[in-house]
Amino acid sequence: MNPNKRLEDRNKPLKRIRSLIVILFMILGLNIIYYVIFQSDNLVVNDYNPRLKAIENSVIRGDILDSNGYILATSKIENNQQIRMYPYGSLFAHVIGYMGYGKTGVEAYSYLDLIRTKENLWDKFMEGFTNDLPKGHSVVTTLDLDLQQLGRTLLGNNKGAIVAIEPKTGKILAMVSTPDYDPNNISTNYSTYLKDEASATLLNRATQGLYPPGSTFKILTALAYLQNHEVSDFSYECFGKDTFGEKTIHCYNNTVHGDLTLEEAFALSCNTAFAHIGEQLDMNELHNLTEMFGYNQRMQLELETSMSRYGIQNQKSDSERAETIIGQGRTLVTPLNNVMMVSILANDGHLIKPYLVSQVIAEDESIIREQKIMDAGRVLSEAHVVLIESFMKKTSEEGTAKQLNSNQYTVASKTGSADNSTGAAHAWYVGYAPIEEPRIAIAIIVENVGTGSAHAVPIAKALFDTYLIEK
Amino acid sequence: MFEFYVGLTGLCLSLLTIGYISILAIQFSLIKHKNTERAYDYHRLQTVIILFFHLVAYTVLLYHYDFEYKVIMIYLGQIGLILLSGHIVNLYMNKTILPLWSIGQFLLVISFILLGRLSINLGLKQFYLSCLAYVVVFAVVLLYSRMNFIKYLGVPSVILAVLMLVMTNETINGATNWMRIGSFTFQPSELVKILYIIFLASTLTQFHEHEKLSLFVTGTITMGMVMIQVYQRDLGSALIFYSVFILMSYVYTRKRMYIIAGTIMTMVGGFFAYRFFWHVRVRIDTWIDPFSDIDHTGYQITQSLFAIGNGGLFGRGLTLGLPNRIPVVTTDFIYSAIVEELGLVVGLGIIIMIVYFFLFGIQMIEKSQNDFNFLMGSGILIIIAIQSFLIIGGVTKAIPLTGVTLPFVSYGGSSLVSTFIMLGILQGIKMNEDRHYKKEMLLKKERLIQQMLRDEENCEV
Repeated sequence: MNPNKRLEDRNKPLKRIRSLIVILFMILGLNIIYYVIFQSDNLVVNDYNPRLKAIENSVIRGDILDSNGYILATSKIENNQQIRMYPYGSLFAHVIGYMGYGKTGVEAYSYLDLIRTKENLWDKFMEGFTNDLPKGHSVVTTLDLDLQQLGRTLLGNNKGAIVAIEPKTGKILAMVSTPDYDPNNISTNYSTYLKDEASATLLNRATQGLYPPGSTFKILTALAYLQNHEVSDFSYECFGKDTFGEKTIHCYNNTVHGDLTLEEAFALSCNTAFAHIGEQLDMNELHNLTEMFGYNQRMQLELETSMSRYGIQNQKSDSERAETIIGQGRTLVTPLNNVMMVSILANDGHLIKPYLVSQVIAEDESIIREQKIMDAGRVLSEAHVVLIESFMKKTSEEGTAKQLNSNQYTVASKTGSADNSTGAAHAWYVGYAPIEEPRIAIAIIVENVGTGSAHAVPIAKALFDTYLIEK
Repeated sequence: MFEFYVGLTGLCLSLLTIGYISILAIQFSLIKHKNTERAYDYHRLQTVIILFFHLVAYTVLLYHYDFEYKVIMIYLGQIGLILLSGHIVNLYMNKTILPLWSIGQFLLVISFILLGRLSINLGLKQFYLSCLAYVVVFAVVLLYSRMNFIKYLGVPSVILAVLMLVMTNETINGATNWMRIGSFTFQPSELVKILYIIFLASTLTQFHEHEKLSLFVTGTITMGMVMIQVYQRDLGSALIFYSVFILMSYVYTRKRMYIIAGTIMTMVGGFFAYRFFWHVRVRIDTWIDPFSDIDHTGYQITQSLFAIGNGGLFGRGLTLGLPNRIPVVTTDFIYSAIVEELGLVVGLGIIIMIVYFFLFGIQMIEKSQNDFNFLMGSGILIIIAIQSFLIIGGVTKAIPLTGVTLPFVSYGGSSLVSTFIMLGILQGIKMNEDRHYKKEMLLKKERLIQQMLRDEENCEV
C-alpha cells in the first residue's frame, strides 16, 4: 500500500477529533464572553460578592433628584465615612428608599448607576494627585417635589396612599404612602418598624398595598358589560337594596336611586344596579378584561410591586357574582394598578407603562441613559373609552365626585368606598384631568375613614387645583 | 497613580497576548505549507514577547511588594529559567517542536505572575517546581527518543498505574486522590494518566490483529480505573480517562460506531450516576443553578463567576482584584483569577494558546510513521485538551465543575511535572521519528552504494 495513503487513512479520525475540540473551545470562549460582557452587572450586585464593598468605597454615591433638580438623596463624607442623607426626611421614604440597612426603592433599583463613573484612565491618573473620590452618576426621577409635599400634607395622620401619573408619558409625578419613616435614621428605628405589624410602616402602600377596589371596579364592570351590550339595553329601578342569591346588596346608606340609565347608575355608584348587571354579564369576559388592565400579573416598575388579583371562587353563585362586580369580593388591587386603569382611559385606550427614573446623568452633566416612553399598545377600543369617559365626566359633574365640578378644568372621576374587615370603609378616588388633554391621573386611598366622596375627593380637588391651575 | 499605571499594564499585557497569538497563527499556516524554517524564525520574537509580558507584570508586583529583595530574586531567577530552558531547547535539540515549547513557556509565565501575586511564597515554590519540571522534561526527551522498547511496557505500566491509584491515602478538597509519604504529598492520578496512555498505545499497537479483543481488554481495565476514581470522588480524572478511551478507540479503529456508542453510554451512565450517586447529583444541580444554594454547594462556582464578571476586557488590573476570595484559587480556580485581574483578552488568549498547542501537536503527530508513537502522541494531546476544557469550562459554568488542574498554569508539583513529561514525550516522539528516518536513509544510501559497486564490478568483468 502507498505509505502516504496509509497515513492519510490513519489520520482521518484525529482530524475529526481536532474539529470537535476546536468547536468545544469556541463554545467555552463564547460562554466566557457572555459572563464578562453581558452578565457583569448582574454578578456585581450580589450581596455574596466581596467586590461590592470595595466598589462602594471607591466612589461617592451619586445624587437622586426630582424632575426639577431638587436633591432628594445625596452623600457626603464625614470622618472618612460616607453618609447618605435625605434632605426631605420622610417625604420620599417609600419611593427613594434607604441605604445601609439593605437597600430599597430607587436606591436599590439605581444602585449600580449611582456608583458608576465616567472615568477614564486619565481621570484615574489625576485622582492619584488629589486624593478626591470620584462621584457616581446622578439619577433624575419623574417625581414632582411640590405635588409630593401637597399629597403628604393632605393625607395627614391617616393611613393611605396617593399615586399621580402623567398619562401621556407614564411618568410618576407623586407617590405617597403613610405612615412613613425617616430614612436618615432607619438603622436605629428599623426593628421598631418591623415589630409594629398593624401600621406596616415599611410597606409602600402605593405599589404593595392590596385593597378591595370597591366601586372603582365598576369602571371595569361597565366596560365588560359594554363588550356585548348597548348602553340603551340597560334600565333598572333601584330600591336601595336588592337580594342576589342569599346576599342582600345595599346602596350606600340605603339611598333609593329610583329609575336609572347606565350612566346614572355609574355616576351615582348604585350598587344594586351594578349587581343586577352581574346577572347578564359573561364573567369570563370580565376576567379577561381585568387581566388586560394588569390584574393577576406583577406590574413592571422600578420598585417592588404586589400583584393585583381578580378572583371569584364560584362563578355560578349569584351572591358572589354580585359582590365581585361591585368590587367587594375576593378581588384586590394596588393603588398603582388603579391609577394605571384610569391612565389607560386617559390615553384613549393605550397602555403607556409607568416609570420613575427618567435619566442617569454623569458628573459632567452629560446624559448616560434616558428612559423612553413605553407604549404597550391598545388594550381598549376608542368607542368604549369615549363612553366610559362620559360616565366619569358625569360623576364629576353630578355624581359622587361633584365637589370636583369646576369651570377651570374638566375631570373624569370614579369614587369608591371599600368595605373591609378592619373598620370603616376605605375611601377611594380615581380620575384624570383635563379630559380634553389629560395631564394628570390620580389614585387615592385613605384607609378606614368612610366614603370616597367625603374623604378622597377633597384630596383630589386640592391636587388637581395645584397641578392644573397653579402650574 | 498606581492604579493608573496598573490600568496601563493591563492594556499592555492584553496587546502582548494578541501579538503572541497572531504569531502562532502565522507559524501555523507557514508549517502547514511546509515552510518550517521561516515559521521558526519567529521564535525569537515570541521569547521577547514572553519576557516583556513577564517584565511588565513584575513591575506591578515589585511595587506591590515594596521592592522586597525576595521578589527581585524570584524575578531574576525566573528570567534565568526562561532564557536557559529556551537556550537548551534551541541548541541541543535540533528538530524541536518550537511552538509547543513556547506556548508552554508563556502559560508557565502567566502561572508565575498569578501565583506570585496571590502569595509570593507560592510563586517561589512554583518556580522551584518548574526548575525540577524542566530537568525532568529534558531527561524524558533523551530517554524517549532512544528507548524503542517503551512500546512493550504496557503491562508493567498499567500494574503500576493501578497500584498508585489504590495506594492513595490523603483526602484534599473532598477527593481521596493524594498520596502522602512523610511530609511529601503528591497526586498519583497525574502520573497515572501518562502510564495509562503508554498502556493503551502499547496494547492497541501490539495486538492490532485482534482489534475487538484488545479493545475489550483495555476497555475493561479502563472501566475499573474509572470506577476506582469515582469511588475516590475524583470525578475529573474519571471523566478524563473515560473520554480519552472513547476518543482513542475511535482513532485506533477509525470506526464512528465507537464514538456513537461512547456518547450513548455517557448519557446512560451519566443518568444513572445522577440518580444513584449524590455527589454527582450535587455537582449537576449546582451547575444548573449555583445561586440557589450560594452558601454551600454553589459557593465555589458563584465566587468564581463574581471574579470573572469583574474582569472586563482588560482586567481589573494586577493586584487590584479580589482573587484571594475565590476558593481553591491556586489550582482549580486559577483561570477565574486570571480573567479577573488580567481580563477577557488574556483569558481568551489562554484558551487559544491551548487550542494551538493541540493543533501544532497534531501537525507533528500526523507525520509519524510509527503507530505506537502516533497513538502515544494522540493520547497525550487529547488528555491535555480535555483536561483544559474540563477545568476552564467548569470554573466558567459552561459544564459541571470537576476539579482538575489547568496544564502549565495551576500550582502544584504533580501537575506541573506530569504536564512537562507529556511535553517531553511529544518532543521525544519527534526525535525518535527523526532518528528512525535518519537510520533508514543511511541504510538506503548503503544499499545504493553497494549496488553501484556491484554494477561497477560487473562492468569490469
